[in-house]
Amino acid sequence: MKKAAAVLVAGLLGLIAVGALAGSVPVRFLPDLSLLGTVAAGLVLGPAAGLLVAASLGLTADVMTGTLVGQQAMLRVLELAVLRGFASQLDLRRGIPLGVFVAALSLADAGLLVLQSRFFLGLSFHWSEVGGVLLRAGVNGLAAPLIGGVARWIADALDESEARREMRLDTKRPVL
Amino acid sequence: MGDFLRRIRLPLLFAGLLLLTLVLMLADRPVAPGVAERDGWLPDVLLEIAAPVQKALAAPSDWLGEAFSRYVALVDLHVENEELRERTARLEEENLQFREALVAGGQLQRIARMREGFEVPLLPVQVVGQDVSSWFHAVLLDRGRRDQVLSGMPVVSDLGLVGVVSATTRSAARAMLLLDRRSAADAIVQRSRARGIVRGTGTGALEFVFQVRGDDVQRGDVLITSGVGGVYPKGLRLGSVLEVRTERSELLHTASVAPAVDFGRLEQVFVLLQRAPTMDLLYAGDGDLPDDADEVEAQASTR
Repeated sequence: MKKAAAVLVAGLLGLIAVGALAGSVPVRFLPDLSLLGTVAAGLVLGPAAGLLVAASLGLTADVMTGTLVGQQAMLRVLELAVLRGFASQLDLRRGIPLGVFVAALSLADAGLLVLQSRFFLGLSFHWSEVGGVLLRAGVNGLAAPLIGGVARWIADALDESEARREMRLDTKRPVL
Repeated sequence: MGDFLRRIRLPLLFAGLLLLTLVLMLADRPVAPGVAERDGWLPDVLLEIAAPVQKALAAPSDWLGEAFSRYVALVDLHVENEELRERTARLEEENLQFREALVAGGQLQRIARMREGFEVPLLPVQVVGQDVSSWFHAVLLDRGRRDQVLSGMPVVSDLGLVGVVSATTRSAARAMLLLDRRSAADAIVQRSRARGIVRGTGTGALEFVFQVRGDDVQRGDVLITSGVGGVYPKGLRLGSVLEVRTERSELLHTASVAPAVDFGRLEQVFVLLQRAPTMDLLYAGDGDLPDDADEVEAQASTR
C-alpha cells in the first residue's frame, strides 16, 4: 500500500514537473511521465495496485492536458495489462529491453490515442506528426531505464515483505 | 464462492476500470464542435493542486530564461534602440496621416462610440504551465472563478487571439489554445474580406478553410476574427497566410496560416471578461455561471 502510494505520488510530481518544464522545452523532447509512471507501477507493484496507480496517472494526465477525461486513463490501464503480459517474456529489469519495450509502447499509445480521438472527437491525423511521435517514443525509451531504476529504489526502500525484515545474527554463540 | 470471487477479482478490476474510463469519456464529450469539455469536481481538485505547484517549479527556469534574455537584450540594445527610434518616427508620421484622414471623414467620433460599445474588461493572467501532450494544446492559467474567469471566455495576447478558457477552478483555469485541433474561429481576410474558418491542425500550425471566389486569398494576407458565432469578438488577429493550396476538384480550399501569437513563449495573456450568450447557453449548469439567476438574466439583457 505504501509502495503504491509512493509510486503514485512520485508519478504525479513528475507529471507536474514536466508540465512546468514544457514552458521552456519543446514537448516532444520531454518524456511522457504518465506512460513511464505506468510502466514503473507495472514493474514494482502488484497487478491490482498497478492498475489503480496507472488509472490515476492517466486521469491526472487527462485533466492537465485537456484531453477527454478517461482517454489517457483507458490507455494506461491497457498498457499496464500489456506490460504484465510481456514481463514474463522479456527481462524488463534490464535497461535495453525496457527501453525498447517502452519505445514500442509509446508508438502503440500514439496510435490508440489517434483512434480514440477520431472516434470520440472526430479529429483527423496529420502525417506531419509522425516525426514528433517517433522522437517522443525515443525520448520515452531513453528515459525508461532511469524511471525504472527510481521506481525500484522507491520499492526497495519501502518493501514491507518478511524477507526484508532485519535479522540479528548472534555471532558469539559457539558453533555446535 | 469466496475463492471464486478472489480468482476473478483482477479481471473484474480491469474490466471495471476500462468501463469507468469509457463512461467518463462519453460523459466528457464536447457539447458542440470547438467547445471544450465540461467542468467537474475531479478536474477542479487536480487543476487547483497542479497550477500553484507548476508555477513554483517553473519559476527558476523562467528566472534563468529572463536573466539570459535580459543580457542578450542589453548587448543588442544600442542597435535595437536606433531601429526603434527610426520605426517610431515612421509610425508617428503614418499615425498623423491616418488621424487626419479619419477626422476629415468625420469617422473618429463614430469609431470612438463603437469602441465604447465593444469595450470589454481585460484580466491579465500568467501562464503557469503548458500541456505535456503533443496531441492537444492547452495552458494552465493562474486565475480562476474568484477573478470572474469562466469557461468560454476568449484569451488574447498583445499579438492576437490565444484561445478560449475551457475549464475553471476557484483559483486556476485551463485554456484551450487556437492550435488545438478542436479549436475553430470564424475568420475574414483583412484585405479582401473573404470569409472562412481558421482551425488548429494539432501540429503547431493553423489552417484557413474558405470557399474560393476569384483571387481573394493570397500569401501574406492577414486573418482576423469575424465576430460571427459570438465566441470571439471581431478584429482579433489570428495569423497570416503562408501558402494557399488550390485543388480544383474541391469547393472548399485551404491555406496554411502562420499564427500571429508565438504559442511557445506564452507568459502573460489576457482573459476577456465577457462571455458570448451562445457560450452562456453551452456552459449553463456547469457550475461556473454566477449563482444568482438574476445576475445571469441582467447580463443577457445588457447584451
